[in-house]
Amino acid sequence: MRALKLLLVLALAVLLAACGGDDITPEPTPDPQTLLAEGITQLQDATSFKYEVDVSGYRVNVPIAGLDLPEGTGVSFKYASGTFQVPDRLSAHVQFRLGVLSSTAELIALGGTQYFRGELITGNRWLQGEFLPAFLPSSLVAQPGGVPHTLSTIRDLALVGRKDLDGLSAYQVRGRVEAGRVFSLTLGLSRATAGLLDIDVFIHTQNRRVVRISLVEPPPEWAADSEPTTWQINISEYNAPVSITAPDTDGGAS
Amino acid sequence: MTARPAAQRAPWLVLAIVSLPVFIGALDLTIISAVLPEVIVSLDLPVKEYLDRASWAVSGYLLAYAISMTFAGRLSDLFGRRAVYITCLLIFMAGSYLVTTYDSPTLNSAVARFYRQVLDEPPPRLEERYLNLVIFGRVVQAFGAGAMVPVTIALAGDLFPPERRARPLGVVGAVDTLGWVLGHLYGGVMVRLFGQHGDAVVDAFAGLGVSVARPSWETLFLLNIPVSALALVGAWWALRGIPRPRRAGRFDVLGTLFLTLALIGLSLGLGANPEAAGSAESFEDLERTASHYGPTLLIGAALAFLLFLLVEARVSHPLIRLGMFRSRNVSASSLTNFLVGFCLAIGLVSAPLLVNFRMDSPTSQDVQYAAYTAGLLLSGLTVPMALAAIPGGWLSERFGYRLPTALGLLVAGIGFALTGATWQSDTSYWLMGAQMAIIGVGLGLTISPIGTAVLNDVREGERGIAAAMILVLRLVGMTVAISSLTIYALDRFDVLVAERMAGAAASLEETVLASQTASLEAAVDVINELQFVGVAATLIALAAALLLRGGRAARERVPLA
Repeated sequence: MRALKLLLVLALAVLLAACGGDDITPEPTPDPQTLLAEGITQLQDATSFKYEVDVSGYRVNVPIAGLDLPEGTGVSFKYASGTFQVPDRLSAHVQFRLGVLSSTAELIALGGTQYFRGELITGNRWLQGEFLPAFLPSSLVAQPGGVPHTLSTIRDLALVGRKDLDGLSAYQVRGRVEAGRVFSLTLGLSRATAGLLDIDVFIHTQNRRVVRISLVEPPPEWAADSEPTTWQINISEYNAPVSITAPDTDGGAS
Repeated sequence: MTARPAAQRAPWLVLAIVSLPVFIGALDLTIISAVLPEVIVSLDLPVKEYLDRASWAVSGYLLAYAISMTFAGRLSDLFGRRAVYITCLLIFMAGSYLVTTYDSPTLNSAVARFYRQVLDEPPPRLEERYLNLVIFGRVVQAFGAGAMVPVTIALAGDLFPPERRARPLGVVGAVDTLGWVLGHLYGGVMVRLFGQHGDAVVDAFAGLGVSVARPSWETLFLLNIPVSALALVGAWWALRGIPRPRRAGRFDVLGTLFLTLALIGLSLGLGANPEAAGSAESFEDLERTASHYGPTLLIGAALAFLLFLLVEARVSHPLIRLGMFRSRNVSASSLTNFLVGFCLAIGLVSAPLLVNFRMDSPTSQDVQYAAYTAGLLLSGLTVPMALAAIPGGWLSERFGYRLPTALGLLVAGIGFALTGATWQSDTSYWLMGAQMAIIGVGLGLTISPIGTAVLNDVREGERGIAAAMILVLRLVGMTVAISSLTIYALDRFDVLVAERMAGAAASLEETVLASQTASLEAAVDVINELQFVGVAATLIALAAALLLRGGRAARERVPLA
């Protein structure tokens, strides 16, 4: 009976320890500049990675010209998950909202050529066209303008400490970045063009890869009381073998 | 001097108290069917892509409800009605609470850790975890809710002598039926009211100095908790004097396990593996995962069912005595009832689908109004169904089991044929409601003769388990229909949209317009096809019903729904 009690107590202790995800323990070392530089190098040298963008807070509107939408509804961006393959290939699922309804579109970008399809917009049929205007996959890692370059321009860098991201141990580095430089981070969808934005970069404690970037964008001036837009960008699956090719645009829903 | 316990003084009061949670549990069987799109929308997930996964909030409840019904009565024989009943009620309350805490950071973090540390893979995105937690909470709820039904049936046996047992048994069945009949209406109306007057509720509480969140679909589950807590206190008091049943034999653990595995395997095999489907990155992936796992799961389900039969034939205290099925009436009724459940699910799924596809604009008011309309339309099916059980019983006494069952299935078949032939994107809701009512009347006519045929053909001591089996078979029929038809409908929808889009113009604007038209037309076609699946199912059920015999001037009419 005592052994059983002991086991129960141990199980509870393990559970409690596992649940303590929000503890931030300040650590004076390592140096945030060095940490970030290591993270940037890993990202720059990657042959492929998975890129996930999730938006919360004030909505990010997507201006689409020529679409006759019901009054009071607009298209806004919610989530995207994609794989980037060097030098210039990207495959992504993009979730957008029409009013309160969400729908998804698939995008394949090979250099300057984009293909897309979606249930609502193309009846799941692949079309060749410009889904993200002026977006080039290579811009994700371009020098200048790409994600690694944007990270290298972060000012007022400070190490917040070690953070447990639901089982992923990472160093949290905080700073500020010029709004004009976050184009590639936000797939060209951020509103802000001037001023400094708060940014947090999470770097894996073991392999020193950038695993998450959190960017806070204030709401537009005319909605200043609204909550800010938070862009959470997760980067994973570095150097996984991928092969992104053009879809079949003739065969309907391929 | 000790007062006599309530069980002896007022058995009807005790039955009323223990029936309240049975009603709430049954209400929750269908509460979510009308508001499912509202749930998906509020979780910020794309409806089409997640409808299949979200449908597990309905079918997972049905499945867990059916599974727990199979063994809980026996558990209460062994461990006492009061203990088992109260445990079930607590499980139901815990499940209801879990549904409302889907966005708890602690729970979501624990799920993410589980993926990273146990499964060694990246966790699903937050919104998907929310949906998974809603489904998990629903399954927990259902285990408690379903288990309360056979325990309450067994309690009716404890509270009343054999010669007075028919009415209380009928009452338990009627309470359970009333719950799921009203569930979608309650869900739809409440969500609409929350949408219209939610701010007033918040303001009213603020006036009392209490800060509350705006009510929404989660509130439906939150409301279960205080009502169940009251019922818990009542049951604690009312069940004090219930005699502890004799500990006869052992619990059929293996039988329960194999039956559970068979039912889960069947549901998952007919649909897609939710986990695999969840990781699918497109509808093609979803179909691949369904076709990849489907046969394996179905073979596994068949094996588990064979093992269940083997165990039941050998153990001294089986979960279900297989000898029952030697009676032609029991086996014919079982098959018919399974198919009645299958047809019922077609009706329950079709109306909300069409209503949601017909929405004028994607605003939250429209989504809530769609839930409300769907709830009303579904009542057009279920209320006539429950009411038709009464003439069904009368016809059964006068003409035997076969005639009302066959007549009911014929009427339901005609109803399905009418809906399949006439439903269009602009069909009036009045006409749709009238046709749903025809199906409801038809299915309702079969309830009493099927139930009575089984109850009158089993041994006296087996009536409790037979009563539960009737409900379980209908629920299994519904689960199988939802699992298989959701995948079928999504697959057909994609095919039909692709066919319509094959000749569409290539410019973006024209394609968008063509796509919207194609989607609506394809949705209507798929819904119509489902109605003809309903026609086929009623015809098979009709063939089984023709095997029924006897029943005229039945020995004892039990209006079990």
